[in-house]
Amino acid sequence: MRVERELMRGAGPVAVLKLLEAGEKYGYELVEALDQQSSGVLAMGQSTLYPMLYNLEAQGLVTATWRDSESGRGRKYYALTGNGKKRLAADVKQWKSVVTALSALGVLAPQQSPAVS
Amino acid sequence: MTEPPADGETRSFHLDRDSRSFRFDAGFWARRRLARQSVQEALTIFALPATLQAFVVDITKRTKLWRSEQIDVAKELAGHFRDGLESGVTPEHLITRFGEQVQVAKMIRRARMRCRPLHWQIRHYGMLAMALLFGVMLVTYGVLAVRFFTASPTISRNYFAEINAEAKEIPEEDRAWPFYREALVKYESFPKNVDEQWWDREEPPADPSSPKWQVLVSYIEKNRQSLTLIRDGVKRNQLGYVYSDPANDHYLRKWHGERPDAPKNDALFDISMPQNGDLRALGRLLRAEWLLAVHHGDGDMAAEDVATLIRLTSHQQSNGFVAQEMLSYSDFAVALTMVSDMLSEHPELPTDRQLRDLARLISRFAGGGTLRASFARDRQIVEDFFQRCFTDDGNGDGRLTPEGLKILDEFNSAGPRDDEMSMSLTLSGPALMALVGSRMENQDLAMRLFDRDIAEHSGPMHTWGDSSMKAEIGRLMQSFTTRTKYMPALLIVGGAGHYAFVSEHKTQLRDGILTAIAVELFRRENGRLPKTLDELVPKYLDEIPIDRLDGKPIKYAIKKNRPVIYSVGMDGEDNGGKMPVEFDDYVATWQWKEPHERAESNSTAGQGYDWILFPRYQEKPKN
Repeated sequence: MRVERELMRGAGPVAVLKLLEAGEKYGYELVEALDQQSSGVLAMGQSTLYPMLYNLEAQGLVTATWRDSESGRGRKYYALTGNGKKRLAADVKQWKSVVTALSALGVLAPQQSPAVS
Repeated sequence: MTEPPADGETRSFHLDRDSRSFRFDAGFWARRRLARQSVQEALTIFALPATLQAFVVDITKRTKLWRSEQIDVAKELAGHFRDGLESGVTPEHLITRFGEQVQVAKMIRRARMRCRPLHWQIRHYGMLAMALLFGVMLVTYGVLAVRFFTASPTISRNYFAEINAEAKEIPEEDRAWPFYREALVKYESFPKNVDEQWWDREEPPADPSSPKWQVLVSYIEKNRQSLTLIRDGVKRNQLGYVYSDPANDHYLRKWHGERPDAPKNDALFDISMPQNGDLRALGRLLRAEWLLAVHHGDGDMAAEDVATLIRLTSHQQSNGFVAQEMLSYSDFAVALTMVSDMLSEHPELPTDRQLRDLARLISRFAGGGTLRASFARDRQIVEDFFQRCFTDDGNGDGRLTPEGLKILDEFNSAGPRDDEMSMSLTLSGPALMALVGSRMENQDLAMRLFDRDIAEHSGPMHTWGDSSMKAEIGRLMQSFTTRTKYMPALLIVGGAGHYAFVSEHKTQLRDGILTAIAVELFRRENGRLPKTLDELVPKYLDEIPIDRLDGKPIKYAIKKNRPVIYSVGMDGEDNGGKMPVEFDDYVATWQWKEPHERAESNSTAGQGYDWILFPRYQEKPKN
């Protein structure tokens, strides 16, 4: 199941930040992780990911660093900044509130909670 | 974002978005230098299939980012596709999953530009904002310019033509002007090296022993015909001056060269009234003849000269402009001084009957009662001014026009300009049109101020307070917004207070002279001066005129067996008819000052003296 664009606009960044919480990752790695860990729900178009990463970088929530990969070619790795961690914590708190509220309204059954929560 | 520093790179400080502070950025100039490398060169290391490489190059080119940014994006996308290929995904599938190039390029461009240094963003968005602002201003100016330059006044009423039509309707036999015109054509002025008004400026009036006396005698002799024509003219009911009348050409050429007498474009505020100034010359001729008559003891001639001057100056008011009325009042005051001088220096000259005739003529001047300008024509000047400056929407409202701006410019520079408006003024016209209030707002203000000032000065001087019109004008002038909004009204509106003061001054002088005539008639009949003015009522005076500076009866005293008639003057105190010696004291006894001006003034001029109405003040001879 794919989520609507508007919903993805809010969920996408927090999902990316959450993935980076575990450690730095490069673009393709993030695409794969989003696809697999959200069972495809948050599998965003790959063209969407890079602009999103640049936006997060512009906001100072992630940093990008070029490093050589095992194959010898350069890869750009993204990592959470201090501000990124704070934003993630705040966003998670808000998402939990939303989920709680939607659950209370009977919109969500407990098993329907998103994978990123 | 940092790249591996290149050898010998230049390091630079710039604003960092993350910390929102200046940060030492080692990569900034290195990235700029990288721009010299091509995208293709940067991608060789990824060894992508041709379709994928072309796809990456196409997207990066479409972003239109800096070359260094394009290489950075291209390398990242190439790395992405390399990783995909190594995961076993086909190039076609990778391309399909990635999305449409144009849309991707747009999103990347937008996001990458947000990553640019803060100083670039400030400059970039600042310029965008400026461009936007300029665009908005340009569009606004354009709209205003169209409204302004297409605006033109509608002259719905030609006030000047109406005035001229009124003059034309006067029957020929009732017109005085043809006689005055002939008198002016025949008029021979004083020799150029002799001041034509010297007898007015010398005190006491012209001394027969003066070498100039013969000039005066010759002046009168040469102007006998003109004097006869003046006497014929004053017998007519009205002046009847017709503007642009070919019959005036000879006169106008002699007195005013080639300048036409009609106002430019029939604008009433440009009316020059050349005839009024010239009639004053005829008035001076009468006064000169009066001087000779008094010298020769010719009472009949002297009385007739005074009466002729009063009738002549009554014709000055022909069109009802306040300027004409003020000129008329001024020459009327000259006639009053002639009567005053006869009564004080040569009381035997006029007969009882001549004195009574003069008193009747004086009391009926300008309709009698309190002299006051009607301002009827001056209201028309205001109305004409606004119809020539603004458009007309049919409901009495409208906006400023280019012609109106030119008129305002002429008013502001206190004179007509034949040349075109300056380019800067023309270009500022649309903005001024937006800032200047509407026709109705300005006309209403001008009329309201005008009417209020007239009302505040309708009574005798002792009832006047500070002018609220002046206070309101002062308040409006303090703010740029109101000063600009009401600029047309503030330029055209004139205080009625000054004219009311001139009228009050002449009214008081007139009442003083009428009282002096009554005293003289009483003296002749009773062989003594009246002890009080009450003795004059009702046989010699219907009632005792009021002192216009305290509202009580006019004052009277007997000094050295001679009558003195006076007002308390501006200090409001009755000093027993004390005549000022110094000219400044004399002027200060009657010159109107508003209460706040009196309170704020440190001057003691005029204090302790009265405003002497009879005999007239004569400045002490200068050493």
